[in-house]
Amino acid sequence: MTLLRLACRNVRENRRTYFGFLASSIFAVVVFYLFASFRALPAVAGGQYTGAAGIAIGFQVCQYLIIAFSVFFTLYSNSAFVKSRKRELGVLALLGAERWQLSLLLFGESMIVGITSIAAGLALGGLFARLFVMVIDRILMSPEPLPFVIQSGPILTTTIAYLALFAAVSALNIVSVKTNQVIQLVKAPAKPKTPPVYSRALVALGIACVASGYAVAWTVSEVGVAIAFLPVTAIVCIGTHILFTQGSVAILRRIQRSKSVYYRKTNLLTVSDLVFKMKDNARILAQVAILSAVVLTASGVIYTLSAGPAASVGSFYARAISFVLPATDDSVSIAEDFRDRLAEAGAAITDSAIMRAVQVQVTDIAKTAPGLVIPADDYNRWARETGMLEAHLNHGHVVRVLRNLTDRTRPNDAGQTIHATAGTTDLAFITDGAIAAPLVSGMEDAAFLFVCDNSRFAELMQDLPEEYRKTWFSCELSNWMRAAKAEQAAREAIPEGHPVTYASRVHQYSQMMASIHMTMLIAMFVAFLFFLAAGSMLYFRFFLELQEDQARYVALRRIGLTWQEIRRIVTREMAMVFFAPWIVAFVHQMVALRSFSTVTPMMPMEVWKYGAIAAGIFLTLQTVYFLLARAAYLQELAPAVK
Amino acid sequence: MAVLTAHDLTKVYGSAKGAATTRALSGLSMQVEAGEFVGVMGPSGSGKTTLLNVLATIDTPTSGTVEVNGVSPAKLRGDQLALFRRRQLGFVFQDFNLLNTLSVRENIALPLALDGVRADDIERRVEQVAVRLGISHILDKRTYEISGGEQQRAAIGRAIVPRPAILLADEPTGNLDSKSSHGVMQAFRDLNEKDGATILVVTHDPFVASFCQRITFIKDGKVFSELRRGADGRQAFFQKVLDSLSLLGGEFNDVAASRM
Repeated sequence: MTLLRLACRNVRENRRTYFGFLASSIFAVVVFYLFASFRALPAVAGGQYTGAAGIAIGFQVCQYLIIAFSVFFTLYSNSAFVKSRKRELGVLALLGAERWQLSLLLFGESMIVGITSIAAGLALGGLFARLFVMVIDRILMSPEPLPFVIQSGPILTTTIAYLALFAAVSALNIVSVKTNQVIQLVKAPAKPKTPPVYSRALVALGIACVASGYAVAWTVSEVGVAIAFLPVTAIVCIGTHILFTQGSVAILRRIQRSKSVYYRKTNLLTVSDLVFKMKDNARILAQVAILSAVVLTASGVIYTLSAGPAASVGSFYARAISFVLPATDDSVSIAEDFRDRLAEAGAAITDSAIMRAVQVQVTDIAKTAPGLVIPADDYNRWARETGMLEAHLNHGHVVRVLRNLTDRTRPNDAGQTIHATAGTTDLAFITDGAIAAPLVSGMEDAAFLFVCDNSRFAELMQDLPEEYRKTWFSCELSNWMRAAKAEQAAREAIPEGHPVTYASRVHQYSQMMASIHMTMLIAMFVAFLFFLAAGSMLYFRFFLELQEDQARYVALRRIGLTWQEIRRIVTREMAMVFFAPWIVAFVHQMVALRSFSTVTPMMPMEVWKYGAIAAGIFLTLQTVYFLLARAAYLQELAPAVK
Repeated sequence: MAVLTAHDLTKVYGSAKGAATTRALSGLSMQVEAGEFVGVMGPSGSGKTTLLNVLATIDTPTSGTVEVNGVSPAKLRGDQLALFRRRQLGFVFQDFNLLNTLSVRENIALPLALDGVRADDIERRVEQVAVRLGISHILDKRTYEISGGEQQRAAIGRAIVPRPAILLADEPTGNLDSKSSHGVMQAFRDLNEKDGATILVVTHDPFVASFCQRITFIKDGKVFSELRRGADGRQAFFQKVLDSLSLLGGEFNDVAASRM
């Protein structure tokens, strides 16, 4: 049997052990390839849409992160393998295999797995990329599909990067075997792990690193953020590493000292095992925590940048939809038709009003701007329906309608005369001050809105030329964010070419959302890939220890541990490994977003809200992943243990 | 009062078609009274491991019944059975079966902790058991830092700390040298004589068996004979055991001369 055939057979025979490694390597390759190929997409590289250049850089950074991640992961998985197979290697050595033969054997095995995962990863990556582009096209309903071609560049980059990675890791494997004596190889599995220890000084250092980083991040603002960004990120990363390697042990040791907690039911087993699991996985966990923090913060920032303006659209338009038509015989029926069609098409109208109006030019202090004058009857009918204050006016008096009436905005002009013009006619009203009502829209033709007493309004309607008489429709919708289609349907009520002044929060919002959709989608996709990669690596770390755990649970079953209790232990241990990085990442993210909020006009609370949404999405995904991983793990465990 | 009653146990291994069946137990009945120290001996293939597995509720008999303190484990399902095992039966294995992630103290505390005993009660009972077994000084050591004999005594500690109805031991000295074996068997005898623990030891080693009060010899899945120690000293009883074994026949290849 040649060495190559032995290597092939070994991979086949050890496929259970190799499976986790292979699967996560494939995954890393898929993710890397996706980043590489999206970066090379003509649309991204050519900068066809908003933020393309930024996204290209983002993809590049992601590529670096993924490969760094892969290096660590492959290294750990590999050393775990060599450890689990030391006895086998020892037997080969006893049978007279030379060192170089063993080295070649290990190298060959690693390369078989490596090449397999590169091939499978590229195939899957191509498939995913295609799917992703299809999904984007579907979501954006873009008229011309995103051009997508499988390019040789990304394939080459991925192949070279991962071949180099696997070769380097295999070489390291060989070094680790060469330094071992045969006796150590043969006896290796019998030697249990020594219990992890921690150093108080290091724990203190870790806390100091994170605390000082937080303190700086919390206090800096604006320009300081850019200066502090790198050093703070660096010391928080160092602190996180130390806290995972040392702090986790310190905390678990403390629990062990508190007998009333430690001796409660399965805690004894969970905690004592977690001491080892956390220590063994500390570096991976710290990496996952830091990467998650970066991705969460980035998602929060992107979400803030995009969702912020979209929400502010709401504050600009007082009414969901409003329009002004020339007052003709059929203008009221057009407005009614519009309203009915709107409701029919699924818009939830909370209130609507069709009012008579007069279009005027108002001269107020320094500026002259268009405004509408509406009769008190029409206004009061709406006010009664919606529970707003009614206006009671003497002849010739008006009251100004303002959206927000605060001390700052309240005009100090009660009793004064308001001058306005309608064409060549000069008009004068005595103002009674202002009332607050959410009617003043973002309409160009109605910067001012006045409620006029009924008799004066009747005079105006009679005196002024036809072109100044209007019908004003406005409504509010509870589902205005999703009413774009209904609005489109309702607009058919207004005949083509009919003169209309139209203002719509619904339309404006849907336009904005569409334009940021692409950026958001890609950002979410990147985050999602990261999350999947991190999740799989956590899971496969568990998988690597499956056999060890199986033996342990079998031993526990023999002394009467119930399957229920084993499920509980597995659940808790897995939950710890899956959610500890998320918790740390969440705290990091919140602190980072506070710094970020100082460079935006937003309050920290608002930015946190968006950050929390991003973190919430992650948590949900992570929980789904956790539940799947747990089910799969228990299923693997069951045949031997249950 | 009988703590353990096995009635007419049969265990048949192999395919249902009967092409290659092995009859490990065939109509074996035995009884262990409270406070007894019983040994089960038999040559290789006599069915003693099967018997222990059936008594330990790890395996189910093809026919026949087992009762422990009036409860029939065959009527229990899944986790109920696990709980029964944990509370009523104490196990001592040839390979100790200690968890190496736990210290000796934690290993002994484990069954009590799982049963929800209060922390200070656990501490107290672990200390008591450790004193009885002479392992107080190694309680805070890891399992791989202590000798085999100490590991087995720690395992005995874990088995008896929940105060089970009966202690079942499977070749408890199989992995030990003769000096350690002596210590472990002495520990069993102390538990039996001073605390009145009910013990059943399965072994093929006459040295181990010579510590028991009563020995049941089995052959071909049936009780072959029985030997009571009576007023004999251990050395004299050991000699009787050897005599019985020669009657029994079969393979007992590792009766070390040094143990005589």
